[in-house]
Amino acid sequence: MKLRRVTIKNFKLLTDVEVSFSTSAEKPLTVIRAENGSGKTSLLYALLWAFYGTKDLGPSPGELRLSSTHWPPREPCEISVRVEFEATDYETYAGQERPTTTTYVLTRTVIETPGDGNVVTREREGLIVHAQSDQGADRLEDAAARALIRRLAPEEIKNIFFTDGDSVQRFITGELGPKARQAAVHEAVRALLGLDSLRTAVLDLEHARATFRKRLAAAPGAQALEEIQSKIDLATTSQAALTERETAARERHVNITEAIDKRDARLYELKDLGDRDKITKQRDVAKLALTTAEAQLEAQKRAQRDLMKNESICWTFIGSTLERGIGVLQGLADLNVIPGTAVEVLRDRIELGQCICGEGLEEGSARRQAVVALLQEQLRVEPNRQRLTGLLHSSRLLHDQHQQQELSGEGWLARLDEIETSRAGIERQIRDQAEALKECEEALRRLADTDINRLLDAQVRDRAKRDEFVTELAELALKIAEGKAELEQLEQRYEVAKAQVKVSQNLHDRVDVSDDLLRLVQKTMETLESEYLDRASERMNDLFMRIAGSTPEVPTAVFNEVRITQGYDIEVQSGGYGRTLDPDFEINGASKRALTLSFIWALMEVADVSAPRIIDTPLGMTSGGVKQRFVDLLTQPPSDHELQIVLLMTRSEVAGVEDLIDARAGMVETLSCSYQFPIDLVNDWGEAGPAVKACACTHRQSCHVCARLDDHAHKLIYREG
Amino acid sequence: MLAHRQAMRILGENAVELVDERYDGYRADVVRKLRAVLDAQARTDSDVKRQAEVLGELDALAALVASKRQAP
Repeated sequence: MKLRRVTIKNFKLLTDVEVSFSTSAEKPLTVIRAENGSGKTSLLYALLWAFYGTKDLGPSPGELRLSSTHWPPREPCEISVRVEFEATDYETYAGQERPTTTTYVLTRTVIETPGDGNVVTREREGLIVHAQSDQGADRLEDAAARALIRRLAPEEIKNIFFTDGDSVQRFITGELGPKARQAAVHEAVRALLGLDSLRTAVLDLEHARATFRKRLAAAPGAQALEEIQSKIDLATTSQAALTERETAARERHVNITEAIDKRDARLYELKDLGDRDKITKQRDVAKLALTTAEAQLEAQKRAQRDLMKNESICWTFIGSTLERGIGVLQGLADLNVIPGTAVEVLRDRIELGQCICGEGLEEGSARRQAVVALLQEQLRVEPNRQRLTGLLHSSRLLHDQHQQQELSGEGWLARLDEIETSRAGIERQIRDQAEALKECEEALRRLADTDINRLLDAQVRDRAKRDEFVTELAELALKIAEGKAELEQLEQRYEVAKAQVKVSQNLHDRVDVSDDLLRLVQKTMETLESEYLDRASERMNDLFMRIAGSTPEVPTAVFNEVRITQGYDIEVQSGGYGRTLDPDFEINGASKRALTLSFIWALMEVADVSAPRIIDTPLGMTSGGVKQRFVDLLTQPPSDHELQIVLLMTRSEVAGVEDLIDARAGMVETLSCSYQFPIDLVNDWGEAGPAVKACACTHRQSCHVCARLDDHAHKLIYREG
Repeated sequence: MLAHRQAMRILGENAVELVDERYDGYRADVVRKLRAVLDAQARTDSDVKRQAEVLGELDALAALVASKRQAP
């Protein structure tokens, strides 16, 4: 199948868009150039909708909106996608394949009415397919239309034909686990090689053969035949049961291997955490260090508080001013402007009975009377002067104390500095130890959550079970081989006995042809499953190694080999020692894309499937030589089969591969969206609401519709359109 | 069937191994019948209808084989 043209009306922002595709054998590539938000993904969805309807297109059909979010509520929107495509059928006449190409026009329509908010209602979708011929267009019956789509683009592998650079990677990335990955690869292989159809044909032919054989066995004188037939039936049933057991055992083997691998990874992680005793010791050391440091910090805080309370702090801030003040007050005392001795001092002395000079002030003594007289005299002095005298005395006292302690302002500051330095050191130590303690406790908690011994026990148990499955699989394989040999023998006996049965030749013929055709289809299946799968594997390896620029002969090559295993897994071997690489963590983004697209390309080539490959944003994460080889190898026109590739690319993706597009693209068009004016687009198209438009600009051109502000960076030629 | 062309080619190649006295000169018919057997899957979803179609194709092939045998 090759797409010729798609005409889209009111699908998302594609209000009226027509895109043509190259059907040329020499130039199989179509490039739709569109920046982010310019309708690439909507175009992909429109094609998916046209072929398959709303099923699997969104989260759920009820939540899916096909019309633009700008379509007014309660106004019916008529949506339609018309796809014109061609399909070639081959008939063999006298050993020569003769192609017949038919053009079809598929139109899917629906009326969607947006409600308030996110609710939309849709009428029943209409699907009409016309086959065009020289005589005109014939409308296909609904069942025939569905059958045609099923034959040309089966739904189960629609994501291979219509995909994007990210989601295509599900064949090799382990997001869904290895089982789902293998299932995806298996499904693609089965669908593309047509194995499911052949398997159904085998069942149908077996059914037909059984029907004819029953008739034969019912003929007179066919007791021996009937006996052999019942043995064949028994052996066939037994074979089917054995095959079923083998499938189940294989699945159990895969499951248990997956469980063992998961547990191994967990044990590895736990091992990485460390030994429990060692961590406990580390935790205790950290705890002790933390307690000690906290006590030290407390001591330093106390020392700092004491230092702040120390009077000598005054000398740091007001020492020189105080000394000047004492001098001024002393001068006033010397001039008798203020009393030489303070009232409080004289009272204290009298009460203590001792003079400042040290002599006693006993009751009635002349000295005591002199001091009392001095007190009386001082009390007569005005209060302000008395206060100044008091100030002089307290200042002197402070000065004396300061002299005695010999604690200068500089000393105080040095001590403060010493304490603060020590505090900072201790605080850092506390932070470090607290962190170490937290880490140890977290590690211990994680260790405590997992019972390592339980894990190890389960691992031993499951490994033994896996060994049992391996033995069981080997035994089953042997039994199946024996059963096959027995069946062959019975078939030979059947042939001999059949010749003895006297029935119409016509019944014999029927039995013979059903036998022959069954063997033919079985052999074809075996060929496809072995030889053709190997061919696909080899071709995938060839394509991938060339894109990645990895030559196994070079010892520094990153990759050595990629292959499709018997278990339908895509395996990547590294260069050097040829180790198996984990696709999730050991393969870069560009190589993942290259590998999965090489897989699809190889499989489609080998299966000789003619279906368009439409890839949205295919070249993300690729650059330089890899990008060049990527486009070069995947768009090469093949000599022996049909190819159509549609790449939906941004200008950045186009950059660097313009010459290849010149050579390989039979069609290049551009999509732009009006809402990008004036931020990115140069011109306002005068649209009432946001809409996507297609123009005929190639990857080297721009025009009134698609001109963008950064076009100068891409050296585009302006085209009058 | 999507991979019709390749499968049909292999069926055609393998058809060479069919016994001469039964199919010589009719191998292309055998391959055409097999194509019809495979096409039956695209024509209907019903197992019963499909199996009936396959029986019909085999009847027709048996008739061809008979006519070959009777041919002078």
